[in-house]
Amino acid sequence: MSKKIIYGMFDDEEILLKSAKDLVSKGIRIKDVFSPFPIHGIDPVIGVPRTRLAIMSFIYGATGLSLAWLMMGYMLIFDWPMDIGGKPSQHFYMNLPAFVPISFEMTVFCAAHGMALTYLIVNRLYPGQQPKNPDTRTTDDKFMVQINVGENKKSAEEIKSMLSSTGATEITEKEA
Amino acid sequence: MNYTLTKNTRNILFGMMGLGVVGLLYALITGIDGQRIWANLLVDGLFFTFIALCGTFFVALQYAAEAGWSAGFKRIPEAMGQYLPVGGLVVLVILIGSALHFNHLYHWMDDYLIKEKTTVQDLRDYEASLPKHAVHEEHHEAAATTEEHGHEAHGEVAEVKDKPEDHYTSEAKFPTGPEHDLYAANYESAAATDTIANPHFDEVLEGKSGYLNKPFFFARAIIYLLIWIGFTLFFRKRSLAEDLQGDEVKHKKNMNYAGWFLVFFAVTSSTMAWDWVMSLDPHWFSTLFGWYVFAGMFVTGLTMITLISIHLKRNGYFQHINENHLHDLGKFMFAFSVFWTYLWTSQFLLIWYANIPEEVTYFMDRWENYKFLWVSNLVINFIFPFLVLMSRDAKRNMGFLMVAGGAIICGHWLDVFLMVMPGTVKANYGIGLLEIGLFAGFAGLFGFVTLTSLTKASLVPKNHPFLDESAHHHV
Repeated sequence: MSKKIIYGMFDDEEILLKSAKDLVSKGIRIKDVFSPFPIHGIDPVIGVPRTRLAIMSFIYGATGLSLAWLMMGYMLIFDWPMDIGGKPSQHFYMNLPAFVPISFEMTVFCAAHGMALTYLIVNRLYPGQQPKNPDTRTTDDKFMVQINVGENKKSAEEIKSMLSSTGATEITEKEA
Repeated sequence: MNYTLTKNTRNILFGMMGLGVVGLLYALITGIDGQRIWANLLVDGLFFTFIALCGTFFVALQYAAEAGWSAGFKRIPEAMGQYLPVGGLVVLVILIGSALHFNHLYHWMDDYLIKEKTTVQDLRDYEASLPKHAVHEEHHEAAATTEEHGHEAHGEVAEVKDKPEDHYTSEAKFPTGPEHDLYAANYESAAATDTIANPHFDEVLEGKSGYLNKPFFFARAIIYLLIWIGFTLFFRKRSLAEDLQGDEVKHKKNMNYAGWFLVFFAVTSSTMAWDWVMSLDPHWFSTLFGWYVFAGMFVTGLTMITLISIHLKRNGYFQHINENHLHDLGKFMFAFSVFWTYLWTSQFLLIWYANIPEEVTYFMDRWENYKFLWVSNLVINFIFPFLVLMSRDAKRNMGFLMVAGGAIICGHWLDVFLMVMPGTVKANYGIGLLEIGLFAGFAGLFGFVTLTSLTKASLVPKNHPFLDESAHHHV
């Protein structure tokens, strides 16, 4: 099994998108795409599954809401009933309107921080991490597809010619 | 391709209108209080006028923002706007009915309440003219006046059994009507022509009479309606003319005109809410009420656009409108449901916290007599659409959109109901054949006007410069 990796460099994301569609329709599996900005519509083409971050966000938000209610209920109703604007404080619901802003803030706080941390962890963006980008130009104005030859039935030469015929300006090959 | 109103759809709409007539007849035959019937007419009149107004607002908003995604379905908000003349007329008739004292929805329209001095004869005539069930939030000072004159008002409370229990306004202590002619008794010695202090004088209404007076009120109402309807018909005419024209001249100018409409709408959507809705509780005020009403009507309007799109799609039209457009409409429904809740909370929270009597009465009315509906309002309009429309897949699914949309339409009808009813009929309300029938009836009328005007033009606008962008909309 070949461990060769082929990188195809493109000047424009529209050309890359077209090329990727063309390659995928011919049965080539694209390992990854590197781009300075998100390319609209590339995810379904190269088979990236939809992010599940939204589900996590809901869970983090629900956690935040529960924490906020637990905290306020314990502090202001149970442990040390507080006189909130002269309102009765025997039950949680009696002071619920006063808790709305904090409930909202805690929900947003937990959802936002949870999502950001999850994103960093899932992408292994820990401190001190070395950049894994094969070519630094893809952080500026170039776009690149990565194809692992071992995952495809076609040979490296065939893949290279397909890339160049669909508009790749620069094709490099690397042993992994 | 043009839309055809099928016999089936037409029969359903006529059936709904029939239900409205049945509800009205039922109310008249069973002798439901006239005030309650008028108040219900106002609820439905306002609710569907708001939706129509939002149709025009949406068209103008899309023009001004140079939005491309909505070009494919812009005939729907245009068609919704066509109901505005009908709905506006209904509202205007109710307002005029109030000014002519056919109903007492707008308490402040009673000129007698802002007269500081009165003759004894005038006072007697006025009290004789008061309807038995009319709800009068007499000002506390008026009640205090009776106390000063040493009347045993409290002794007579027991006789007002047919009235709703009322603990926090002075009404219970202050029976009105010919059988409680307190003042006449006090001034028995006085001649009919003697001038006395008016016990019904309402200082708050007098203070607001510079704005809340009938000539200015009706001048405003007519200006709002004329300009809104004018812009609606104007945009519609230009849109249809654009179909026959090959260039973008009309579209570029539309952006300008839309800007003018938005400026006018920004001011009048607020003042309209003060005039037509907030002045139902004339002693109360809220500075963000205009925005609150706007948020409610915009989310209803967006939901109506979504539901009509789905109706068209399910009947084989609108193939160029796909789940991407529905997704964006769903986002709008979700976002403005949250926005409405934000304003609802902002209004409620401060009043609840500060607990100032003059402000808190508004929510006391609702809490005492409308507790279940008042809580349901938040559940139906916030929690339900929030949970149903939260995920991406739900917003791209017609079934979920219809469930959430139905809830939002009914929920915001309930919201308008809760804005109108407590100030007009206090606890003398119900959700019965009258309410449901009139809601269905007006919905049928709205649907009929909207769908009929959809049949009159191509469903897809021709020559709209953003049409191609709309067809390729992708999220």
